[in-house]
Amino acid sequence: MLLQFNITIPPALVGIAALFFALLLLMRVPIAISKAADPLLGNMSLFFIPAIVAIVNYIDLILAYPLALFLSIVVSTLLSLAITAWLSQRLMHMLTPKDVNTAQPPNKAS
Amino acid sequence: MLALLPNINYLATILWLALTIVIYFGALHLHRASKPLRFIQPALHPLIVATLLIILLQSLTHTSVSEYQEYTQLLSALLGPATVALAVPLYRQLRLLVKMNWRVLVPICVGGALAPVLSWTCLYLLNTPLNLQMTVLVKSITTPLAMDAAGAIGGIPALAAVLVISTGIVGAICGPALFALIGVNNQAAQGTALGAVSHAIGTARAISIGEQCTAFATLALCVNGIATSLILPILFG
Repeated sequence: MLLQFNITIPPALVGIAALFFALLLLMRVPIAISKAADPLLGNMSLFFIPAIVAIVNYIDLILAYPLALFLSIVVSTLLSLAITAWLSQRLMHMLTPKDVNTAQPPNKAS
Repeated sequence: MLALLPNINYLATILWLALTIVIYFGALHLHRASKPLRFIQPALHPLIVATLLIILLQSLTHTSVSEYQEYTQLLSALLGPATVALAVPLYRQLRLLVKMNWRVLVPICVGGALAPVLSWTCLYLLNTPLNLQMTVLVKSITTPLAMDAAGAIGGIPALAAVLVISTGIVGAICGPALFALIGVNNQAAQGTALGAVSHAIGTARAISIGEQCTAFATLALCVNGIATSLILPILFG
């Protein structure tokens, strides 16, 4: 083989696929699973904090290329988000506007 | 004395865990309470407030980041199960996702390609080192995938984690305000953009918008993560 895929799919993505197919087979979400899933999902941001704090270790690098990193991380991320969201809305509206464009009851947590 | 050491770590673990949780929920309340201050609210996002407070406490107590991460392992360990739980909204919204079909896949591909290309262009035009340029290509996929892919194309895995997290935070904090600004009120469209560009941290933000938003973000997160980490090594490996 000329091409080698040295990518290991992270366990979390395998987990999403496994649970998703299990739910497909069950054809419903058991109460036990939704009771476990809801608090985990609702507070997902909390679980990112230990990883996010590590950014301080790279403050030197960020200060070495402030403009380049600002443009490539902040500006281009915002631009990509805007274009992707706008395109999705255009494409999805063509289908059934009323079906998709629901009023959104705000959920808990961020 | 030596026998006491494990006890000290045990205490620090409980203290830092409790502090992190208290600070997080405090930051959540502050964020909600600041709703009337429309323009300041995004800057008071719980992730910013909580992270800054914890960094401040760390420097006051002379705790290093690696020590802190060791103490709060329980929280990072829950990230895995929380990510797996995304299968639930994905399943609940399956009918709508199938109905959208290419209408959701096309924006995911566009967003997944646009984000790294734009970032790379900025770094290329500003003459930054090549390994930084290669690393930024993985910024829009979830951390474990990004670290592997960065290593495969001559980037720096540890740096990849930092760029990925920064990209996620930018999307999570500014996303909703940005969508309001450009008039994107469609939950499915918001989710697709958050998941495709700001991966798991964007998806965590999508959860607070609604289940539909979460499902589209999860799909975008998975599709872009896998596609990017397969395509990059073929192009640059």
